[in-house]
Amino acid sequence: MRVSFRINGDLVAVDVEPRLHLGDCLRDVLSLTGTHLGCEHGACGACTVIVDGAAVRACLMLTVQVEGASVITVEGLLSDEALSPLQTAFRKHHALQCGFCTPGMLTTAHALLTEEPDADVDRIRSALSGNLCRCTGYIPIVEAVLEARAAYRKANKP
Amino acid sequence: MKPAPFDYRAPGTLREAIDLLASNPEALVIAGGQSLIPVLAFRLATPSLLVDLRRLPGLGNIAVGDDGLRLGALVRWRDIEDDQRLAAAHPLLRAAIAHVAHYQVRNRGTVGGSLAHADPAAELPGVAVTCEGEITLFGPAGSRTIRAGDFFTGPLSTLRQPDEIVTELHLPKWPSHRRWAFRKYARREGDFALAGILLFYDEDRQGAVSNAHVGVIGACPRPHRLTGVETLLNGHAIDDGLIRQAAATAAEEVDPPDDLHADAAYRRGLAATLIERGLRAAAQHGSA
Amino acid sequence: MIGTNRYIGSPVERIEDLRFLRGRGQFVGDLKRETMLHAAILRSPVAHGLVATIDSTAALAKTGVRAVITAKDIGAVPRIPLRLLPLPGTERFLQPVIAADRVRYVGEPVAIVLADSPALAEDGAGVIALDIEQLPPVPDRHASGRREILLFEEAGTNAAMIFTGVKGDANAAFREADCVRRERFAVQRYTALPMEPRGLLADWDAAQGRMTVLGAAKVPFFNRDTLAAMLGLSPAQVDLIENDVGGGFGARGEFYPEDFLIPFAARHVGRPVRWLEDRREHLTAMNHAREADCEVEIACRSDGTILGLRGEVFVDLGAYVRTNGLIAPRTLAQCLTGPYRVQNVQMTSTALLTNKTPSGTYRAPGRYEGSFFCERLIELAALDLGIDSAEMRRKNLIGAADMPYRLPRLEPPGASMKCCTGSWRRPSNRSASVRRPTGVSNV
Repeated sequence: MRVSFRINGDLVAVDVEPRLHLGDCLRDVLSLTGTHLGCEHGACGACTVIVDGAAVRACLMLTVQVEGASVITVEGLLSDEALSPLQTAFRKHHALQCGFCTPGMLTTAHALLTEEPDADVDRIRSALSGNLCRCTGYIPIVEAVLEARAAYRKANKP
Repeated sequence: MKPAPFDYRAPGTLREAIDLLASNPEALVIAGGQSLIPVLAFRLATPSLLVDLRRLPGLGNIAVGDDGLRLGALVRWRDIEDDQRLAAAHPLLRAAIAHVAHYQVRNRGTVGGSLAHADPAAELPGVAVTCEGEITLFGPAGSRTIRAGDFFTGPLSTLRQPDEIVTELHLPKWPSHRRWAFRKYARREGDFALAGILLFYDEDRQGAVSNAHVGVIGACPRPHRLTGVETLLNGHAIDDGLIRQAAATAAEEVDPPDDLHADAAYRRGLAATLIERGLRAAAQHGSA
Repeated sequence: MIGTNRYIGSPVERIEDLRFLRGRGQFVGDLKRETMLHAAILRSPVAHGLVATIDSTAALAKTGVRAVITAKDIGAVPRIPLRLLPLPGTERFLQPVIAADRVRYVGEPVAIVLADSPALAEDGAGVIALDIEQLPPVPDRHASGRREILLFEEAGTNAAMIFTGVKGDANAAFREADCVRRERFAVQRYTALPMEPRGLLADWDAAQGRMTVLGAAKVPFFNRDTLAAMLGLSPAQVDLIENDVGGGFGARGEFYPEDFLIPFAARHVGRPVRWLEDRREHLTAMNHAREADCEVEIACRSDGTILGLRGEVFVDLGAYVRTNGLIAPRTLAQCLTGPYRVQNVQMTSTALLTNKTPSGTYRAPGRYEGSFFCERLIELAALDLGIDSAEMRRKNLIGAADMPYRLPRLEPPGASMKCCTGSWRRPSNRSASVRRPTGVSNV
């Protein structure tokens, strides 16, 4: 089936089987391998992307379901080569080790802070509870997201 | 863990959707897909066709009115969380939905999907049953409405026929002074409840409990009301003794499964403790 | 001499973070070859059985399925050697890279399907007709020890190895002790569960006679030499390349069946082959760890001095001895006393085979289990003696004067460890004023 949607701002059209989930489409058809598959059954969050502004598990959406939608992946979190404030905070706080869960953490945090730049630590922990990490023990990730709030608040000021 | 192959259609009208289901006995309905897609990934189901409801108009509304609350089948958990009217219009629903799965799942999962999937530990079926909700279905013969208490027949099992689609959940109007509680226990945030309780009651002129509704999820094959606990509470003033009796009654009344997450005795204990905590909080603060 | 210290004491930002944060990591699933085929592995659905037939006819008829490989295509099926502690007697229990006539755990590889996509390969695997005559399984170490069912009949036993750690005269120590406490403890089965499941991309260059494998980790040299030998190549003809790896934890990187099967498949069909493990197969395919139980006893003086430790530990090793499978059982025999000065030790550690996924190392292999057993026993002995347990630990900690500390003598001796000769600060005096029991442990 032919599906067209926006990916990181660009309009694309792909021809895929209905059973191809969005994660596989991004990785194998569009060669955007930043979105990772950790479980393919919605348990780990590594595949999180942003569809029409909402963080979703790419393994729990079929490609055919994003017809007409706007999808942002980790590759689309910044438009030039510099790291975003969120990514800078991750690096500073050592919020990643093996890096496999990291794209999902970034997209989830980005979606959350875009809507809720004043999210407190409990809200951040709750929103990230659907993203598993086996390396860091989570605390540096939460600290990085807390620090990044300042940039999202600034961005929200009229 | 790739699904077996299937065809896919996203019809533009309810009639078209029903016709597709009626003419394809191996078809399944998909809405948010948060429960269905893992089932497909494990190849526990291999439908020939998925009928996606996403283009159907009119199913995404939340209507607050004098006859209560009407939730369209495509209303997502996120829509419930975002709707400020529900803090007053149905605080129990709002509290329960905040516990569904995780942030990302709440952006996609739907009212209709949860009711049709009928996981015994799911929050919305618990709300529907506890609050005497009604579920409307649309099929080849038109609409029919079933009481939530009758709709769920067992784990992952409902009265919905394969060629019917859930279109709406109706919850009766919620009076402002009602006391209520929602309590769930799971080992990790976002897990299905090992046991969960939903309860509300009103107070009569003497301050005694009236109209008690107590429901259980997770520690049972299907969500249901604990009528023994309700009978115990009605007509009496809430005090420590009554709360403890209610908890003990709940422990006897539930019929929990044994599985690898928890055995029946553990779930029984959980149900009792949650009832106790819920009643205490409802009595002290009015809500929990 | 280096003039200015820029690194020690400063938080150093990592260079690899730049690519990980941008989603430009190069994990094996991110790599491809133009003409590559995708592999799916058919795994045994039963814990124990004799393979009667594997019928691939339906699979080969499916769209996009290019080949199905079984033991027959491999011929003499290699077995995976031990990287660590290759002790005499263990060769009887090594895992063949693919099941030929017998399966011994749910998840054991039986066939490889090669197709144009992972989904098509999985479709093919789903229609292979696998006829297995089920045998009664050995579900736990108790059944294993009873020997009514053997995983390897010719061996005559399910005990893959028995280790003993002996020091001083434990029996005498127990006779002289003021206080003895005896207990049973158990640790459940674990798995490392890295966020990235495994994967391999193998590319055989027939013209050059070179095998290149991407997706290696941790021990590429041992694996390269092992693979080369299995393929009948010289090590110089084989390259194993490690890219970005999504977590190891002691489980990733060892030589698994797939580390032969995927390169073999690539050479067999003359096209690159990529295999990406999915999470469900990962749970049965990647090493498990830590399942062990014990009956141990501690002998003390009334002042809390530990005189001796003795007991038996049983390790549920799963169906085969894997490359590092004996590390935990060995360490349990020799190092259960941890950082404590114990002059009299008698520990026996038996590694028993069961019809489960084979076990290997995971984060402090043998130490996690041993620490739990020893620390819990000390805690209970302290309770019996009416002594503060932190004080009891402090009293028995190995000190500078005890260095070099002599570990129990291990049988078989070839597996022995050496104790480090460092010293460490004693923990500060925390618990003196604490009435409520708090958790204290030394590792």
